[in-house]
Amino acid sequence: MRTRTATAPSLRRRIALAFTATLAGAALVALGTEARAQSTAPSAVKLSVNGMVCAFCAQGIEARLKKMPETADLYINLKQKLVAVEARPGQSLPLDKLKAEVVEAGYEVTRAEPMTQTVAQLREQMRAQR
Amino acid sequence: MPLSLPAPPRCRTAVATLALAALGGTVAVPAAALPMASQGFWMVMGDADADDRKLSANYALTSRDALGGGVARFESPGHGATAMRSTRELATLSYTRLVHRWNLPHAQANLWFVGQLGGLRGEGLGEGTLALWSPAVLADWETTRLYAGGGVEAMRAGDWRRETAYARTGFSFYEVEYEEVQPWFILEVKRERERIPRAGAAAHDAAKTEWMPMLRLIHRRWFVELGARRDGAHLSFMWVP
Repeated sequence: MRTRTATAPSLRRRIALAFTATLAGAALVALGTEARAQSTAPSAVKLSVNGMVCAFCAQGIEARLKKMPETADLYINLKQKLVAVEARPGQSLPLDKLKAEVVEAGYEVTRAEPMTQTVAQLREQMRAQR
Repeated sequence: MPLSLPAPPRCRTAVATLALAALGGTVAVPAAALPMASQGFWMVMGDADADDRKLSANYALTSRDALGGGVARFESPGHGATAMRSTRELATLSYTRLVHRWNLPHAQANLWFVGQLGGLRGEGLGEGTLALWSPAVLADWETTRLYAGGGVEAMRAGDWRRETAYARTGFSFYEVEYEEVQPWFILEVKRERERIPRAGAAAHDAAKTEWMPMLRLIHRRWFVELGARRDGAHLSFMWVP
């Protein structure tokens, strides 16, 4: 009996310590993931947009994306239904916001992916392929 | 074309609406795709030929709703046959609704509703201004190379009535970069019918059907159409300032 009462607080302390350590670990992992996400947030993004078939439609998308303070350059290709956006130096592009702007303009984003090229490089590549 | 209001109005409500429309800017249903801009933007539209002049503008309150207004002046469809010119002038407030949009992998299709309220005056319609209301439904489908669209519009003002139906189809000559001007060939067929009430006599019915080939030019915020009818040239435009 005496032994059991002596070890009970010790066991509780160990459980509490383990729980605290787990929580702290989870918090650190979460913080690390967020930090990694911020550091790898894209500076250039390619969007595939359904329904964007004419320049008069696309100018609505262009106007909305150019209003975003992060946007430095933008490229639209109607045939490829492609919109590419590049961020200003030192800034990143929030993908969710980009997609929301295109949807608000009345179109559907079927794919959004980071781009390693600059918009100028993509523009040249597309022109070369014509 | 200035729209001067008569001093003794037959309908005060119509005059008030007309005045509001004139203050608001402008109307008229454009016979083209996309009768409104993206949310938060204005669109200005115009049509001009030997018989019709329209100027309108609307502002997109949401991605699906726009409010606007406009003025128009047009001839009765029967004037060519009777050599009698029956000019109508109207001013309206308009509500444009994108009822549905289909964003397809290589195409876009839209269904639109345009409602107008305003005032109408003209020869054979009595003195003063008649209260006018007008619903219209438009539909269009297009890819980067093909276009098809059509619409019906009804106008009612007292016993006067007018219906317009049109269909358009066409193709672009080639693919372009977004920054370049894209030329299209469009063929339109339009049917107009008007019923003019006559005191103590049967109403007069007039109608005409017209075919018009057009060159459409699209460049980002500009959309211009140049057409040729039997009685002359036709110009229409849309512009997002």
